Amino acid sequence: MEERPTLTRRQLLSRAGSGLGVLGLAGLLAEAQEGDPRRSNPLSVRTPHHPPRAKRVIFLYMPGGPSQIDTFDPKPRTLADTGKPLPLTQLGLTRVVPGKLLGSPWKFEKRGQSGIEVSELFPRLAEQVDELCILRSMVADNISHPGAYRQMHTGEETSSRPSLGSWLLYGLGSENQNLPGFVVISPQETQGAMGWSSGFLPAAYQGTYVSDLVHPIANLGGARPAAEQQKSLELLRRLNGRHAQERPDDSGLEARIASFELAFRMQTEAPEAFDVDRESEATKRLYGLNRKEAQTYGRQCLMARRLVERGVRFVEVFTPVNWDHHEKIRTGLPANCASVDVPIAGLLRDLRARGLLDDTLVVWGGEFGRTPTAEGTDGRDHHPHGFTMWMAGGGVKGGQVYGSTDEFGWAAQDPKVHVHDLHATILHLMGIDHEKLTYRYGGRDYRLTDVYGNVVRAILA
Amino acid sequence: MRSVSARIFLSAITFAWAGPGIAQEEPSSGSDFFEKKIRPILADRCYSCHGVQAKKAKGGLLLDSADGLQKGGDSGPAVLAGDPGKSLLLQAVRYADPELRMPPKKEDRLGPEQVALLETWIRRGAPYPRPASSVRKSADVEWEARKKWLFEPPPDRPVPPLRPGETPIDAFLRVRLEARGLAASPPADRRTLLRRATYDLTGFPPTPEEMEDFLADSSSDAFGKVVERLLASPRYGERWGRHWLDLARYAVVREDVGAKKKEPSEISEAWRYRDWVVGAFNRDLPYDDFLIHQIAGDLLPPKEPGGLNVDGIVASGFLAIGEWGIQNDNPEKMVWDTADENIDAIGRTFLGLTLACARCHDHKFDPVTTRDYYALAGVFISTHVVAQPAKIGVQTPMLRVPLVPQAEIDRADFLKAQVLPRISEAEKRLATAPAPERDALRSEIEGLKQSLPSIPVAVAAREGGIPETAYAGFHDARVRIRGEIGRQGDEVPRGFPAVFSGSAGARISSGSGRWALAQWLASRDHPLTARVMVNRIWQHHFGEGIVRTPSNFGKLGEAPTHPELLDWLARRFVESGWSVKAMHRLIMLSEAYRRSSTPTREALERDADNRLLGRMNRRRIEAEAFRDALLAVSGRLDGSMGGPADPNPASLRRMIYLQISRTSKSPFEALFDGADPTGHTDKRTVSTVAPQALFLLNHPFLSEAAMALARRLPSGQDGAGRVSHLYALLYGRPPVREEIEGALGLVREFGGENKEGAWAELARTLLCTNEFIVVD
Repeated sequence: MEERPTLTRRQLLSRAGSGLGVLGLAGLLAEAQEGDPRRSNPLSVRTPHHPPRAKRVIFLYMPGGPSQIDTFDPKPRTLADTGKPLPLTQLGLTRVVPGKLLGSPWKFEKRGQSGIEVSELFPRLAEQVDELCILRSMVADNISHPGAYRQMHTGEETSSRPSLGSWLLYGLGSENQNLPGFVVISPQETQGAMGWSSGFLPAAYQGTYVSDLVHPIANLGGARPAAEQQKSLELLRRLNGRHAQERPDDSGLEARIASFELAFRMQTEAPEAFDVDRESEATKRLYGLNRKEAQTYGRQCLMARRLVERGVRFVEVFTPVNWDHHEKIRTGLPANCASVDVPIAGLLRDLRARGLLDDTLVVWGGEFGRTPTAEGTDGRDHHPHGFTMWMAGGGVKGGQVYGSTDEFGWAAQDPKVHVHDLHATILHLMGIDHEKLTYRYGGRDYRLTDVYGNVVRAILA
Repeated sequence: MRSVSARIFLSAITFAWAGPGIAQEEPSSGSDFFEKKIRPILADRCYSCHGVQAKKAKGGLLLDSADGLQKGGDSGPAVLAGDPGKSLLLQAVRYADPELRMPPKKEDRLGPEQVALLETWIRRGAPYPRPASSVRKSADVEWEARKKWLFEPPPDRPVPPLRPGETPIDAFLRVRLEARGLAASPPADRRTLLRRATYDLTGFPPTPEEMEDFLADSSSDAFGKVVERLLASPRYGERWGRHWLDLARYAVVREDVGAKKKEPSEISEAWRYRDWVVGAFNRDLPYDDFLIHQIAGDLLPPKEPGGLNVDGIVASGFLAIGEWGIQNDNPEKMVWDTADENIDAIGRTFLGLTLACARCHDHKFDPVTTRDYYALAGVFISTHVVAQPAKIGVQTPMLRVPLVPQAEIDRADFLKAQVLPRISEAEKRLATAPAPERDALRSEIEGLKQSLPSIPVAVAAREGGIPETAYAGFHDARVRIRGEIGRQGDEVPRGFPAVFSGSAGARISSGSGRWALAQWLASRDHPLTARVMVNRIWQHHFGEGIVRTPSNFGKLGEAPTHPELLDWLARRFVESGWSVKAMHRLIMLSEAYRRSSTPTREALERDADNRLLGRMNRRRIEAEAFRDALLAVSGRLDGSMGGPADPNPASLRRMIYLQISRTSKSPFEALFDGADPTGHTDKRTVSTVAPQALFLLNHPFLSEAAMALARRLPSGQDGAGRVSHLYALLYGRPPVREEIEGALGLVREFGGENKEGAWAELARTLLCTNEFIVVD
């Protein structure tokens, strides 16, 4: 950390008075505090380690673990052998003895220029397959939801650690000081706030959880007119000014003054950012807002686009449906897919059309996948040993499949992509060396990837 | 970089940490065969990960020098000269062991010829001609001296000659200030001092009456009386108990996912530990006892024959309330993670050392080895805090220890056996009863349920590894190579880090070793225990410790700004019978504590960080003090003490009594830099972000405080009088004329002096000021 001169009060006030806009103030807030790390604006923009390919991330999260064999990882052998036992001996960790092989009841078809096979459950998304980089050899370590959910979000299965979004915010700061830099959108209860926890990082890197799609942000006021509040702020400004004048040595006081000015502006700007209804009818249709089954996730995806467009660093969009199909997969999975197919396809198209896809990384997946074997007659169990995720946009090569599972769809084959590798790759695309982004806590320099993780270079564009 | 520059600065102006330089040379032994055949292989395939030039040596192994090769890595020596069969290096390149394949990428694998060459070389004695040692850099001279100081009992430092009015603390500080040619700031005014002292000891601002009393007391020991009054307040234990809970990673909810709050894996009884901590501070439980309770309280003798040591059981909750994962699928991993969590918590809390770093490798900076770590791990795998081993898909239930003797439990069981059938019988009747009888039946069932005896329990620790597992009973631990549970190394007898062996070394002769561990830590001559605690007490009076990394006294921590003073205080602490309150008196009655926070011009230029303590540090009050103060000044505080955590975020009780969850933080915790309840917090961060201001401008908690404040204002007084009253409540001072005018101006804008809402608007504005949240 280089020494930075702190602004004097006089400099600060003269700059504040010269008609600087919100960003100017945000900058002041950042600069004024840079000298003392414990009082710094933790959200000011930081320089990445290397030129980034993506500036922001949208993580489309499928809680519960979606079935790969029915969506993105076709296994004709399993289909042919349906009803037969799985002829493998090295199974790894399983919750119960696996049932018989269960081929996918849904048809796969080659789509797009790339000819990648996608299941009929994603008809609209399949049209975008040339944007997708499909990772078929994902592996995770934990076979239960809580541990796997934690690992996917924080890299660590059991202890509480900062989440991926928090690390990114810590590493890069936020490009828009008027909005939270890390937003999690989930109208349904999720598997827990550790998914967007800042852990031992400063609390400012915590994700902002939005469950109410109508009033997304807390404490924006709205109860009283801005003009009225302005009068109180005027008095506050004078009182704080007087107080600070007697304590000219303390830049922390100036920073706190600036934070009130900023808050006042956030009150008007943040609601606009979240307001999906300002979009055109055509855009709303693109995201499926006119479809009953898709409108919730469509609203969430559209909100995500509005946020990344305004410089929010990391947006995680949880589906309102759960993918934990231990039973009734034959009806449950098609319903789930229908609720996200149009919204996700719409999001990709929209990002592409607005020129945002080039530097927005979209990631799709859950905490693990599901077994190629049956649980009961109509379900599949948890499966961390070989599952599928995909990425699109921001620096990844679209229209490619990376990695594979064995012919039955059980075990990922080399080259495998561990969750740590996924995290390392996401950080890499954002301009961060995962081995260098560290935070000292308890006498140790911690990383998102702990002592693991390799960037999957083959998928980089 | 901050700490490095600070250390350089310090070593220049303060202690001359001196130590012998370290130089190493290796005799050279040349070999053509090595240079022509072997080095090219190593350089091509190995050095990038196992060389000094590598970002870090993977597996702790360096292959670019003879000593690196012999020393080996985390798995042991890489080469046994003359014996290829026993050389790990050869096993690795042969890909014989699936766990140890080098180079790791198949495409880099050595060809059979290369493997044969390596084999020949090892058989010939593995000559390695490079002369220079690959030790990365000579040891830090400053650290060598500091290390020597740190691991010896604090010497009894002579106090520099006192000047009139000085306390020993002042003399220690003055010597360093004078050495830099700096003068201390003048004393703070009395209002500032009372506000500072009241926040420091109770976490509240002084009331207007307390302020008036202090200003009116012209006796020479007026401030001494204030200190005594504050130390006697039960609010003191809440304030300082909260500081302790930061270290103890206190929470009462590990994971709140919807309705799952009743999970047996939860730690909802952790509030008993919190109450014990508060009480311990209030009754000034000697710190050695305080420590012993938390590490081995379950082993303390009962207070009466046949009874239980309830305090001890509850206090041992320190070991149980940590965070190591609720749903650990792997029973082995859970055992080691739990032990690790305890070693980490104890190391940082009581020793100011990051012992847990040695789980996977010898500590990279401090003199703690992996053997030391596993010597301690043996103690904690021989202790259990959960009721059963981990199972896939099941949240591991916590051990719940009854707080009443067995006879009482038997009585309760007997009673339950009688009442439960009556309840189910009544419930059956309810199902078929006609409507008019149902209410009576319902109240009967309710009454029966209430008559069920409930046995108070605590989350606590017990001797022995998890029952009915391989860990049951007492065991020494085997080293786990690189921390990997499956890779076992040598067995290490249970014990304490070898670096301390010079001090009164207690031996582990019975049980898990926790009792011996606690006794050893609490010994009068322990090099670290007293220093670490007095430093924390100092930290909460001055905003910074004498060691500014209060839970890391090791190499990566900061050097003490005043080591002699720290030693002197540590000695006084032990001499006082480990009385924390005696330390408050000692510190607060010094001139240093009573100084103004305004720096002199020279100090601002030459000691901007205030490392020489020529002035008081200005501080922002923490989340708890801020919330508590909002309730107190608005007259709405519910001052009741203790009991189960209050889940209502809008509760009017002190924040220490609210529910603290590891997965969802309340606005005050999240926005105002509360402690991280997932781990040990040694120092709160101070952040400034706009959402804090948004909260203050718009959250109902503030509107309610402001409205209540407005209602508190004396209606009999004129506008100026009411403004004065607000200033007295909030800032402990009268307003100047300009401030009265500004305030009344705002009141007029919002409808005039007769409107409560206008006063509430003013009150909210005054609550938002820096003056309210900052203590000079």
